[in-house]
Amino acid sequence: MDELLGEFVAECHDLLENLSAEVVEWEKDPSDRARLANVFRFFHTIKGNCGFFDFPRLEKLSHAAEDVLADFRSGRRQPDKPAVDAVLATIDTIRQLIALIDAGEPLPEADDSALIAALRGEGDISAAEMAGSAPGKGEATSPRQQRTIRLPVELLDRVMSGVSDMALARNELERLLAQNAGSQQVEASVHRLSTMLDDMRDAIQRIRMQRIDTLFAGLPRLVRDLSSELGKLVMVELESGDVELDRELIEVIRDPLVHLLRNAVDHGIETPAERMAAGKREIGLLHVSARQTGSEIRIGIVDDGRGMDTAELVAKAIAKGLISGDEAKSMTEREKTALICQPGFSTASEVTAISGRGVGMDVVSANLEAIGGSLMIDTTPGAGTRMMMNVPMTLSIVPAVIARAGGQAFALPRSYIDEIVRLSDSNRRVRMGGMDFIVLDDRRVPRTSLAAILGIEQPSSGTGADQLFLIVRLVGGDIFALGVDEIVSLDELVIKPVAPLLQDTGFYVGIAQLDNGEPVMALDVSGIARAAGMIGEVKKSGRIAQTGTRTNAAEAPLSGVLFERFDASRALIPVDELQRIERLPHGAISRVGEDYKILIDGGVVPVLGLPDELPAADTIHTLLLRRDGQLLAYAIACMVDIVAYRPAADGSTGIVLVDDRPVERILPAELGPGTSPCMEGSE
Amino acid sequence: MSEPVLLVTVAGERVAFPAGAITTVVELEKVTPVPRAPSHVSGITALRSRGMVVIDCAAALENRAARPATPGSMAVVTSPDGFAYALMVDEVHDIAEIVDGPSPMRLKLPANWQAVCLGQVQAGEETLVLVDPERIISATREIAAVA
Repeated sequence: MDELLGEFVAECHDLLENLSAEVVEWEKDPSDRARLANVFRFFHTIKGNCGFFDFPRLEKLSHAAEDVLADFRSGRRQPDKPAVDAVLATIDTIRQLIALIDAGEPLPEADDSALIAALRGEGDISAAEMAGSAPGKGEATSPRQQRTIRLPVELLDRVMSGVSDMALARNELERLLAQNAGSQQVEASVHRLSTMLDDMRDAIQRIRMQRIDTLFAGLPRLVRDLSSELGKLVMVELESGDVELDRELIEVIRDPLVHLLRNAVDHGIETPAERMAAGKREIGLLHVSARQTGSEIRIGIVDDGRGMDTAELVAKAIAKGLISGDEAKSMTEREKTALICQPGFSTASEVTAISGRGVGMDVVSANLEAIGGSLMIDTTPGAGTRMMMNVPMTLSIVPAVIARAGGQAFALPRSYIDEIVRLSDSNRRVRMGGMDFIVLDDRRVPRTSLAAILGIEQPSSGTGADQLFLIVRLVGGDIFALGVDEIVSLDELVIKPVAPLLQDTGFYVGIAQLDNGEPVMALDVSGIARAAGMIGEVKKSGRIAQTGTRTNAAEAPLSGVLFERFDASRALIPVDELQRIERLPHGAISRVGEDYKILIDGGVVPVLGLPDELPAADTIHTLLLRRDGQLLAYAIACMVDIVAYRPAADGSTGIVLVDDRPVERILPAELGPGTSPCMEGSE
Repeated sequence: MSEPVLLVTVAGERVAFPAGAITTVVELEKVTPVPRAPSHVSGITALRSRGMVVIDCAAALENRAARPATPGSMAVVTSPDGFAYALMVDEVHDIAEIVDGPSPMRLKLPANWQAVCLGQVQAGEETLVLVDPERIISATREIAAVA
């Protein structure tokens, strides 16, 4: 390909990649000027660059989109939903055209006039899609091209592993030097060499590694498209954990990840109506996280949807002849969920457009196994599903905690460790139902001893005497305290895969060398947790994950339900506080003395927020909240939207900012009286 | 046939390893034990900045727990599957040429000897058992499979 053209394509890919997350934010609030400017700039750049090349289709499209956005900016036109959809569809079309240019294929002669008309507000976006000029939505899978020269990956591998070995040899040299004091000159040159080597190691590492964020950036858009297509409400939470992944692996896991997300949105998360009927929040939660652990990256996809019925899975597998009835009896839950990865198994009673597209679960699982990874699925019917992709990552340099237990040193990837606590107070150790716990910030955290799990307790110390605990958080949110003798150091380790002989024990993921040359085993933290019985159910872990996000309020945008009260003022309730939204017939609300009451789930529930004169509407929307374990209904005139908000800068609690405008925030605990203790048998 | 073999003493007996399967002969320094490892694994050690698994050959052959390695123990290094293993032996002798064999053993050998034995060979003046280092590594697993 022409070099200039290559530059253009690469730049477009970069722009598209950055735009992906930006667009979703902009869609939430089309009046956001900063984001609008970014989207505008994208089209402007594309249009400008098209001028150098002969791509009339691309130029026309970007020109039309730029015009529309210019109108939004100047306020000549309001960015309404059809217009926003048209802009998104245009971005998708451009993405496809760029991919074709990249592949060196001629651009098809297609008519974009319907799409352009939709942009100008003269047509409907669905008409444009009918015309076939707009590509399918959700195609966030186009591979990203780097503006780089191409090198065989094996060569990079060799360089990388060579540099790692040099670093280890350097450590040994330094150790020898420390033992046999040499001349200062020698020490100075070794030191200089050492610094250079560190720099080089950093650089080589960056060559191969890419932050997993680049993969995650496209997910909000993907989920947004999927959920709007399927009529579901889904909130995505991303937790990239600063994980970096081999560039090649990012491409390899992209398709499986996208497929698992599709499955979660399509099969896992229920429709808003179903969710409300099940007493869940209307909005489904999809939590995507990445963790680095020794030689593996674990990518967890947790939804709070309907879960899977394993009995049904088994019955179906038997009916299809995949397993026998006897086999089924001896299967663990995890083996049962793994049935959906069997070739010839499909759980959907009807193949939908979403999950039916592309690959099946068997292909996902086969692809992961081909690169030495695996897929584990845990499910709790009614509460959700946790899918965990394990992807190998050899050649990684892992920040690790080196701890001693039973007189021996072991390395644990630091990403697993929330904190390290020392307990001298025996009151903070409790025993309940045969399990040992430590009390940490008023939480009970199950505890276990590393030496005991590994069978290397020393009689002198005894397992109960651990004073130092690593608070380990597993992918999926389970927390436990791992007792150790002492922390040796915090270090960056080159963790190499360990021989199958030791890997098969399930306790180790790799082998590393400390700076003093001593080899140390890197622990498989989830293997340890499994051996100690510290892995809980999906349901529980989901709850912990939620509290986790709440404490991270500083970075994560808070989301709340914005609504209008009967006096036309607006207020907001944090999404987390909301149990569900209930539409009540006018007649259901009765007046008891000063207060309004309704009957919900067999209990009498007070209704707040109503004016003295009951509104004349046939139905009244109420937000169901919970205060001190009791239900509480808050009547609203209408719901405005689900919005992101942030606390007011001056720290006042009653007021929050939505789009920099102050809005009153309502918390159930701060609501006035009305909760006379007359509720019986609610719930 | 003139394939070279490495003569070593294992469990008090002289045996032959195919020399082609052995990368190097080392004197072990510090060996770090690995809890919960298969019984014939003595631990791990680092050789020239490379981590390797140390296996007590005698333990593998006699199907008993590995003895802790003492510094200065001799080991032969092999890496059949890309990972390095140090096979701890009593003594390392010579390289010799196979004069005759390997020919099958007529008797069933005790413990794990049967599983690791490639046959008997004549090397130099003596007749000894030719041992497959790879099978020593997987010795306990094969026992488990048989049992």
